[in-house]
Amino acid sequence: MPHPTLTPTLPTTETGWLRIQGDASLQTLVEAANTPALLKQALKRSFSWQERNDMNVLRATLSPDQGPLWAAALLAWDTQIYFDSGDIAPYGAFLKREVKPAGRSSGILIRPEAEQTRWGVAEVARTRRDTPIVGVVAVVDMKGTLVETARVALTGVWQRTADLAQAPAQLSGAELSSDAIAKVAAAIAAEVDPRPNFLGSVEYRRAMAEVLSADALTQCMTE
Amino acid sequence: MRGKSVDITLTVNGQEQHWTVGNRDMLLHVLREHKYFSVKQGCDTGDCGICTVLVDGKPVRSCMTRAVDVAGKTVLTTEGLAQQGELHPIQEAFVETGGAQCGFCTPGKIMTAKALLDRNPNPTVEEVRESMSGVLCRCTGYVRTNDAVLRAARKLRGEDTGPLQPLRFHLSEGETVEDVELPEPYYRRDNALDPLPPVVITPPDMPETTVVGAAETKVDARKLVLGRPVYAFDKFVDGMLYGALLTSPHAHARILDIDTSAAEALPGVHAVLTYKNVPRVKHASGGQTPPQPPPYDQVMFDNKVRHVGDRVAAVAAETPELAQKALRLIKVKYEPLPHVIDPMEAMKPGAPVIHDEEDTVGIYDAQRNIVHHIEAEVGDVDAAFAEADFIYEGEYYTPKQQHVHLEPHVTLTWWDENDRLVIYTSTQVPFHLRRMVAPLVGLEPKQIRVIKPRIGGGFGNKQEMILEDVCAMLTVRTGKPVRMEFSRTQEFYSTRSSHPNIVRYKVGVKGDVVTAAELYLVGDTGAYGTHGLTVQMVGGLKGLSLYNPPNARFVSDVVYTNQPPTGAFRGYGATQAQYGFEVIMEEIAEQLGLDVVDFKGKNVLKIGEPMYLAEKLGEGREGYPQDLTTSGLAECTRIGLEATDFYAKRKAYAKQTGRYRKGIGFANTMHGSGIAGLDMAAATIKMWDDGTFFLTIGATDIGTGSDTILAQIAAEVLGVPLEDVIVYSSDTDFTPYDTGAYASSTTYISGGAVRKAALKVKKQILEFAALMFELESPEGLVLKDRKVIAPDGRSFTLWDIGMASTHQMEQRQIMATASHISYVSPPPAAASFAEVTVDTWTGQVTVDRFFVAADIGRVINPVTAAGQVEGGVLQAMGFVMSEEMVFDEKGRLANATIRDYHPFLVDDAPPIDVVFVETNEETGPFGAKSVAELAMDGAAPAIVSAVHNATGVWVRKLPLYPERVWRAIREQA
Repeated sequence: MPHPTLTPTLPTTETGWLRIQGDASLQTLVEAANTPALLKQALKRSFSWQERNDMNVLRATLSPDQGPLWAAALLAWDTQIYFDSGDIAPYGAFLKREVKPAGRSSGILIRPEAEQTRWGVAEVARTRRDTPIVGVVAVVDMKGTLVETARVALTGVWQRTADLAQAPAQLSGAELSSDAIAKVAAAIAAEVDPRPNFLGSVEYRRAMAEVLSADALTQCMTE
Repeated sequence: MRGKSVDITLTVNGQEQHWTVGNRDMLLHVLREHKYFSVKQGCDTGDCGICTVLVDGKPVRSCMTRAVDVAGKTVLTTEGLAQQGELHPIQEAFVETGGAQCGFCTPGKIMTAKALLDRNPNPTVEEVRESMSGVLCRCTGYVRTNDAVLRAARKLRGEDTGPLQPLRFHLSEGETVEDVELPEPYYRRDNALDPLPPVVITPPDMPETTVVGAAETKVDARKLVLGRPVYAFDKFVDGMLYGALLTSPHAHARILDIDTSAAEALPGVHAVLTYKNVPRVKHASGGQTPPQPPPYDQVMFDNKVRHVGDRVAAVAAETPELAQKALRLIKVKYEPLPHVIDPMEAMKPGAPVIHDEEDTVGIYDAQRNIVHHIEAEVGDVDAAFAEADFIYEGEYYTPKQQHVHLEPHVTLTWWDENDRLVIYTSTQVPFHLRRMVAPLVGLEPKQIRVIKPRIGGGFGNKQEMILEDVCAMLTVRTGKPVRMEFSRTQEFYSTRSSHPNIVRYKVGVKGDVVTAAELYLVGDTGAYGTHGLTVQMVGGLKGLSLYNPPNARFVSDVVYTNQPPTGAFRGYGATQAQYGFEVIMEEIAEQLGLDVVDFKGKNVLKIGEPMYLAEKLGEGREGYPQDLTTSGLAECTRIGLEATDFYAKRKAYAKQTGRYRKGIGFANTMHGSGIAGLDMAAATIKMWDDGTFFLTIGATDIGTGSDTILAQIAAEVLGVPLEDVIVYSSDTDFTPYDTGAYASSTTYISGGAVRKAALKVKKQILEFAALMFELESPEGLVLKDRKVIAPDGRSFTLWDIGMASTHQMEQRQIMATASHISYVSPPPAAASFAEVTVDTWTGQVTVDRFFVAADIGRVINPVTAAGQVEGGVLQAMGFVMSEEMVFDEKGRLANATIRDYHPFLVDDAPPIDVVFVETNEETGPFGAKSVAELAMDGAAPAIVSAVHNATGVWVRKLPLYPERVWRAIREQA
């Protein structure tokens, strides 16, 4: 609980990324002026005010079950984990143990908000405050009218709590159109590997992956 | 202490403290060890938020915060808010609005509100909802708690709030509810979320009252908002042992052997109980009036377990940690047996036989796991079906819902100085417990005293012997005080739930009149049959009386499965059955092209009509004839139609084609007021020498506000303000008998007893006053405004009379006891309206608004009554939308945490508006009926009706998980 004093703005690295200490409270991010709006929204949606105060960034980040939509937002926002050794690892790769950085994880690095970056969030749940059955966060970097990169992270459709889909890479270099989104959403639905439970069968989760991916990407068209 | 010892310094409520804590100790436990008892625990997983305290001004979950991490910081708990006995404005606001019902979550709510208002003195209702969403409340429906926070903000800004008052409409002669014009906010045309005061519409012939009907603040509110240690959860006794329960990991298994030697040898362990060393006394654990409805299929510990979470052994040890260690040392040799989770499978030949023991009697067909088969019929059902123009059939399913009262089951037992066993417990039924525990522990009932302190919610789950017999036996065996407390996980696995039901209706219609109906209920009672018979009988009666065809047949099979047992749950079978009847009635109306409101209105039970099945279906026995004597249901419906703009919306919504579609639904419901011919309550009122009164009642206030409304009834009769009536409940030694808090009986039955006792005391007061006036008779004397007034204008105050009667002349104790029983159970009724939005692509249903107009007879206290309705509606909304105990193939729960189970949080809840249309039920105290369970019944049919209006599909299986709705829409397409 020894959270640093409230920071009005998050410090930045030499490359302009925002550097958040792992022991900072989640509420620090909500209150900081330069936290990307997507992450603020994901935090408020995933955690109560109490949780945001008593849970630190690293715990919430390294235990995606604590807030699946938060984890998805971090994935889609291309977050990185930094270590006391100085190593840096992509969040998604670290969660999947695809990288083996030295030292202990110390905090996260997040990209600052940028004009060319658009995002969307879509989910289905029993109620507004319930953990999503399926949740999707899409982040699209535009270059002019074309998509430079598109990242779509989903929860509730993998064995893991949250992961990135590969299919959105298809959007790179293309215009973000309804047709393109529909194709990518269908490809995402084919790509996901859901586990059923009482809240959703495999079929349902796959169908929701398509519907909600399209929703989230469509929000990126209009932002 | 957990972990290494660490010395910390911190400031708690302004005082510096130097404490030694374990480095793994949580702040919650450390604060409670230091007697900051306002800090409550409602779960083991950080999900409920009721343990919220402020650390350096920020709200945190003290159960998730290590004590060592607050070293050097400031901690504020609810104890630190009031100054010199003056409530903080936030506490005042919670008192004024009825924001504290059972009060167990109230400190967490208050502290969160404090943090919010410190930062934002003028929050919007949306900001309040977002900020308060971290604290679960199971009683209020959040309407009054949101109101409290907004009101507190106004107070802190120095604005005059005034007491919360209902909006009242007193109809004049010739006026009807159609003459009532609700203010614009009640139409919610702007989709605002603001909490609105309840509305009370009073007919012209209603006798006037003073205290009854007033929005009095709860008599226990102050201690609740101060966070005082008033619950069994807060009770500790010097030298006590800690009891703990070992439970089954198997859904069905025989215990071949138990080796407790290692546990018994552990220093500090004082007793270990298993089937080997406790008497095998067959019983039923439901707290019900004797003769207890069968079957007697339970023993304290058995050599067979029948569900995951079933009792295996208990220990008493000197610390909780030692008790847990002892449990781990008990070696149990199980022979796993085939198990069955589904009730339909359980009835098939060859299914595992759950109760194969020879000493359980009263099971209808043990080989098919059918514990009860119930049949009741009136008229000639087959002939009526043969003559019907149309016959409709429908099958519906309702889920197994857990109560999730925030105070867990907690029991303490000890021997008193007279060698009598005291059971201090969180119960709804202290008198039943006394009788039930005695034979299990080898005592006479007279050797047992049961004390019920404040209760942190029950909803039926504390109408049951859950811990009391084991705790008592541990004290009997050890001679020492013992305390037992369930964890949230144990609440899910080892207590009770509602009965999941398969509900099949067959309805015959001639023209537009329902002439025949048949209801078949399959009730899954789980591993034991407690309440199984009576819940289904109530379901049959209520489920076939609302539209009351003269030809009606009820058939039910109550079935054992290897799930945790069911029991009493607010609504008690009526919620499940009426859901089915309401929906099939709308399905019929649709198919016949009839207006659903008119069709239901034409067929609904009306004043003067008998409830045909009432004589056949009592609770566990034959019932009594019942005619409907009062009903404001038609008026309730008219108000609701107007306030929701029902017809215009329904018409518009039926034409939608887009992805997001709105819908509006409607349902009638009715319940009962106590169990006719069975429930009995008594009350004693004593007049002190200062002219004030002491009311003792056996009735158990479990957060409902019953202490308050019973005191209001006494005050009304005795001509005094509420503050002159001190209430005490309940203690089997010192308060008169009451069946307990269940069956919506307290206002009607216990209130009847209080009124009678008050009338007796009044008579004594007037007689004594006549002596003082030197009159031959008390005739013509009037008791009001704390005095007795003679016809000639002379008067004596109650102080004068109290002093004289106690100390000065013809001395006597003015005091009376009265009992009350009723052979009728007048039904309160409600018209419920739900508005929803359905995402037809995902199946997600969002309830946007809920409106209830209810006839509960006289509204004794509009604020507490509204709180009952709002809370009941929201609990029922969980039943409709999210709450279901789900089991895997091994009989283990898939969602045994609050987070996974998901009761509604503040931000899940729609605005809930409540209008009371009063009627004067002559058999009830001052015309009152009941309210608590009625509130559960309307949400399911109204929301399902709204989803149908939005989408055209009927989703007959609850909860309305998005996938279920999505599939129904796809199947229709």
